[in-house]
Amino acid sequence: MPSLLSGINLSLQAMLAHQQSIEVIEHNVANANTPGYHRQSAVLSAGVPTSFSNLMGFYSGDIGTGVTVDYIQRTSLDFFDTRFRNQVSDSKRWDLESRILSQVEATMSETTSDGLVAKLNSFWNGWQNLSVDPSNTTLRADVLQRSKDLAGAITGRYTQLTQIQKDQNLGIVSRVNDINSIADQVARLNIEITHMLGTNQQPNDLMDKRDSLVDRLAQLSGSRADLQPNGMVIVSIGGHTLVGGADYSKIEASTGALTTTLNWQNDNQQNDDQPFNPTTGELAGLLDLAGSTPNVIQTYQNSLNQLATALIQQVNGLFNPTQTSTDNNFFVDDGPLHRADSIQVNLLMDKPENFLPTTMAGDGRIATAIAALQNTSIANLGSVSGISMNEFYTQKVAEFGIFTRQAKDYSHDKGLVLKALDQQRQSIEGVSLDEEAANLMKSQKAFEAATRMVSVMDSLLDKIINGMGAGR
Amino acid sequence: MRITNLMMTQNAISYMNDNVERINSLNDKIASTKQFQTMSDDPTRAASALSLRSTLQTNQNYIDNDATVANWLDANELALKQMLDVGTTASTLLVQGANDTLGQTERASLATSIDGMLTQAVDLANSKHMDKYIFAGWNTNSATAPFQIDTTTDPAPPAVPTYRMKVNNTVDTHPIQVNISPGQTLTTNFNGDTVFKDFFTGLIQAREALKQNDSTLIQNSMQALQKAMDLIGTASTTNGARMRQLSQTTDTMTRTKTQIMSLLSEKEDVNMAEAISMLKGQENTYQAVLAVSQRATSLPGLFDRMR
Repeated sequence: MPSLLSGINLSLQAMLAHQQSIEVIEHNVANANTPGYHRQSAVLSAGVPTSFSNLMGFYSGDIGTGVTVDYIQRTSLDFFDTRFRNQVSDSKRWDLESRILSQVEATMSETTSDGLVAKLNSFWNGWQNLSVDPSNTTLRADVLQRSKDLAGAITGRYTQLTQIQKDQNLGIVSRVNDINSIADQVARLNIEITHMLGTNQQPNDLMDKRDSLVDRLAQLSGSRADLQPNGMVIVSIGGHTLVGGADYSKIEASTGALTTTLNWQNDNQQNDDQPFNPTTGELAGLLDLAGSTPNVIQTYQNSLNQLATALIQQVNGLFNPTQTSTDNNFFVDDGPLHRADSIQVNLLMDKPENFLPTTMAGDGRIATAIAALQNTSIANLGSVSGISMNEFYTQKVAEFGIFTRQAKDYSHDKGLVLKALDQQRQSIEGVSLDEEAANLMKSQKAFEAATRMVSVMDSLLDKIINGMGAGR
Repeated sequence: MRITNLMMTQNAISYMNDNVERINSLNDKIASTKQFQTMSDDPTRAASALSLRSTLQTNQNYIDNDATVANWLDANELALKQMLDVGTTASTLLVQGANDTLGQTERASLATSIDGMLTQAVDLANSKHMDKYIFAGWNTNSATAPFQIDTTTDPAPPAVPTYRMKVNNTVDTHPIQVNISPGQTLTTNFNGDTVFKDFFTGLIQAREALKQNDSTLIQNSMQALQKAMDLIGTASTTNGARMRQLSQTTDTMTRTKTQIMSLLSEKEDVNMAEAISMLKGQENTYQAVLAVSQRATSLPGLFDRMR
C-alpha cells in the first residue's frame, strides 16, 4: 500500500523528468544553427510498477511509479550519413578542380588579345611585314619586339603554371597533415565514446564532433566509415584502414621537384609503405591536377614545350640554314626539356640593322619563309602528319577548356546531388524550432501538472496531519 | 519532409546565390558583348572563334601589306612611264634629225639634247621608293646608284674622242617576290639590266649618229630606240597586269574579311536584345527570391506565439 509521501516523491520525479526534457530542448534550441549537430530528445518511460495490497494484505494489483528519463537519444541515420559522405568526396573533388582550373584559365587568358595564339599571329605578321620591305629597320625592330613578346608570353605561361603546381603541391601536403591529425582525433574520440557507452553514458555531442571529423575525412580523401556495435567508427580509404578503432595509420607525403607521392606509413603493421592513391576527394583532385605524374598542369606545360620546340627549330632552321654556328640562331634556349621556360631571342641578333643574315638588303626570302610557317604543318606536332603551330596551340587550349568545362559541370551537378542528400540528412537530424517549441509546451504543461500534483498531495497530508484524530 | 530552420536559411542563401550568379554572368556577357569570357564557358565556340580571329588578323595584315606592295608597283609604273616619255621625246628629235635639210651644226645640237636625255634616263633608272632603288633587284640599299654612266675615255675606235659611251650597272638580277595573300606570290620588280640596257645603248647610238651627221645611222638608231622602248612598254604592261592581280587579291581578301567578321560575330557576340531581356527577367526573379527568402526566414514561429 503506497503512502501519500511516496505520491509526493512520484510527482517530484515527474518534475525532474520534465525538467530534463526541457533542458534537452534548450540544448537543441541553442544548437539550432550548429553545423553537424544532431537533435537530441529525452526518452521518457513509465517507472517500474510495484504491486500493492489492500488493507487485509492481499495482492490487489500493480501500481505505477511515475516517469523516468531512460536516456538522451541522438537522432541520426547511418544510411544518410554514408550516402552523404560518398557524395561529398566526389563533389568537393570537382569543386576544387574546377576552382584551380579556372584560376589557370584566368592566368592564361587565351581568349583575350593577350592570348598566345594572338601573340603567335602577331609574330608571323611581323615577318610578313618585313618580307615586303626587308631592309626597313623600323620593321626589323618591330619583328624583334614581337618575337620577344612571343618568347616572353611562352616563358611567362610556363613559369606561372610551375608556380600553380608548386602551390597545389603545398596544398597536398597540408591536406595530408589534416588527414593525419583528423585520424588521430577520430581515434581518440573512439576511445572516449566507447568508454562512456560502457558506463551507460550517452556521449551525443562527442559523436557529433566525430561525425563532423569523419565528414571532413570523406571530403579530403573519399574515405568510408563503418559504425561498429561497440560505438567505434572504422575509417578506411580504398580498402586500407585509416582509423581502426583506437589506433590509426598515417599517410606520408614525399615531395619531388614538382610532384608529390603519398605512402601509407603504418607503425606496427606489415603492409608498410604501400602507395596511397585516393580515387576521389580533394586529394585525388589535387593529385590529378598537380601532384601525380603525369598531371593536368604538366600536360599543359608539355604542350607549351612542344610548341616552343617547333617554333625554335623551324625558325632557326630558316634563319640559320647551315647551323654551322648556333651564334647565328634567332631563338636560343637551355636545351630540350626547358624550351618553353627558356626560349628567348638571341642577344647577338638583337640589332635591327643587321640581324637578317643576308648579303643583299632587298632579299626578303627568309622573312617570307618564316611568315609562311604560320600555315605550315609541322611533322609530329599534334599528330604524325602534323598541324600548324597555331592550330596545335588552339587545339591544346580547346582541350584544356573542355576539361575545365567538364570539371565545372561535374562540380555543379554533383553539388546539386550533395545538396539534396544534405537536405535529407538535415531533415532527419536538424533542429526545427517549431517542433522544439511544441515539445517545450508539452513538457512545460506536464511539469506544471506535476507541481500541481505536489500541492494536492500536500493538502491531503495536511488534512491527515492537522485535521484528523484526537490530538486537536 | 521534415523542414528545419537551418534548411530554410541554407536554401534561401543558395537560391539568392544562384540568382546573383546568373545575373553576374549576364552582366559579364552584356558588358563585354561576348558570349564567353573564358575558354571553358563554351570550349567549342571559343576554339573556333580563336581560329577565326587568327585568320582575320592574318587577313588584315595581308591587306595592309598589299597597300605597301601597291605603292611599289605605282613607283615602278611612274618610272617606266617617264622613261617612255623620254624615249618618245628622243624619237621625235631623231625624226627631226633624220631630215636631210639639217646640217652638221643643227644635228650636233640635237645630239647634245639626246645626251641630256641619257642623263635623265639614267636618273629614272636609279629611281627610289622609300629610299630604296626599285630597279636594282635585291641590291636596294647600295651606297652608290646602281646605274652609272661610264665617263672614262674609250681608247678603241671610233676615232672621234668618246666619252659617256656606255652605262654600267651593279643591278642584282633576283626577282623580289612577295606573298600578297597566303600562298599567292607576286614579283614586284623588274630586272633593270634587261629592261633598260638597250634603251641606254639606243640613246648613245642616236647621239653618235647625229654627231657623225650620217642619215643611215640615224635611221638605224631610230629603229634600235623603238625596239628598246617596246621592251620598256612590255615591262609597263606587265606592271599593270600585276597591279590588277594585286587589287583583285586585295578585293577578295577584303570580302573574305567581311565574311570572317560576320562568322566571328555569330560565334562570339552576344545577342544584346536577348541578353538584356534575360537580365531584366533575372532581376525580377531575384527580387521575388529576395522577398520570398525574407519571408521564409523571418516567418514568426511557434516560439513567437508562446506566452
